[in-house]
Amino acid sequence: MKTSLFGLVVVALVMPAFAHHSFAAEYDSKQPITLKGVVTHLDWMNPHVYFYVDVADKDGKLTHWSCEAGNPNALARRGWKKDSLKQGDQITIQGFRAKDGSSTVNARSITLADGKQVFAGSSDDGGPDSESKGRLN
Amino acid sequence: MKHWILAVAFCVSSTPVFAQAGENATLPLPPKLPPPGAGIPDLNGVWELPYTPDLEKPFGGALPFTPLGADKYKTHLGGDDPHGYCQPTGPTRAFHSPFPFQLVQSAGMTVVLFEIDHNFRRIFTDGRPHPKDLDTTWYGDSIGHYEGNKLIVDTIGISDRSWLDTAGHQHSDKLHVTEVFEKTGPDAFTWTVTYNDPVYFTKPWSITLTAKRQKYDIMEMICTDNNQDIPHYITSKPKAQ
Repeated sequence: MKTSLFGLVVVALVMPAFAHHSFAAEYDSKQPITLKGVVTHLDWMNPHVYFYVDVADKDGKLTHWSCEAGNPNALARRGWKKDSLKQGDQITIQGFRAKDGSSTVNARSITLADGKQVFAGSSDDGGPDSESKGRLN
Repeated sequence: MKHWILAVAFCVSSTPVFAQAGENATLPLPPKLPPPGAGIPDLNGVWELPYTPDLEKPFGGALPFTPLGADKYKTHLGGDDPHGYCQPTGPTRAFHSPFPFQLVQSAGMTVVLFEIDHNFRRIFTDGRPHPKDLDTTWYGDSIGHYEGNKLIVDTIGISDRSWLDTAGHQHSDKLHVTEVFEKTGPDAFTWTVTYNDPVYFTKPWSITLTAKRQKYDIMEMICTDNNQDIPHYITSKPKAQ
């Protein structure tokens, strides 16, 4: 796996920076969540990359989750491309739920189907593991 | 050079997924502009300052609030942040956002091209004063002059609608900002900002951050393109668009 020498061993859980909004404005650091599902769509757009995942419960019922990642420019500078996540990819997301109770998650890291954990690029500003902790509301 | 070789090798490999962290060989490089002229520090280029969401960190403690300034800071919710709704950053917050910016110097004016929000500032260095009866605007009015290796910028007329940082430090329209861009090497300058706002702060206070020249060009960043956060904000105010 030659590529792993160069690319796939990306530093996980090193939080990127983002100024669009504070983590606490939308997400709850007390509600960590792990989602395992299938990517249905990806919006490579500002101010955040969003991707959407179908997650099945033990009965097979699907829930559609919106997952916020970092800014596309920042992710591109770290090696991401528009097709880094594709429809049909099996992934596991570690993140935090939105405070409003919706099926929205701030993705902190993504584990690909081959087990590689990669940096998702999420909101900083007080979120868990942030280098620069802002005020937690 | 070694990093570029690795990055290129990765890009031509069979599974172009994630390049090495911090590298992307497909992105455009900054344009190279000629120096602005003799006796003027060359600030042309693409730069980035350390991301600073909370100005208390470089300041080294709580800001010297007036009672009003303290109350505004303590009572806000993160969802009240105007930039969360893609409203402008104001003149200084864009500099310490996690996005690079380009400085373009010419005779009589320096332009700041901010990646964040695809926005800009103009700093006139042709000797003009601030306009009389200045209306407040998001970015205010900036005039500057050179002293040795420093560009010194004075900005007034800043709307109180912007926040100073992501943590929620705010200001009045009496805010008077002084910035000193001091070239400290070919690929670095210090940015010292003094915030003087007698409504929100008991005395002027300053921070200094160091800008580094960037390897990548600025990119397009249109905040309103797909801002899906608004319905989810926990805010104390009616939700604006």
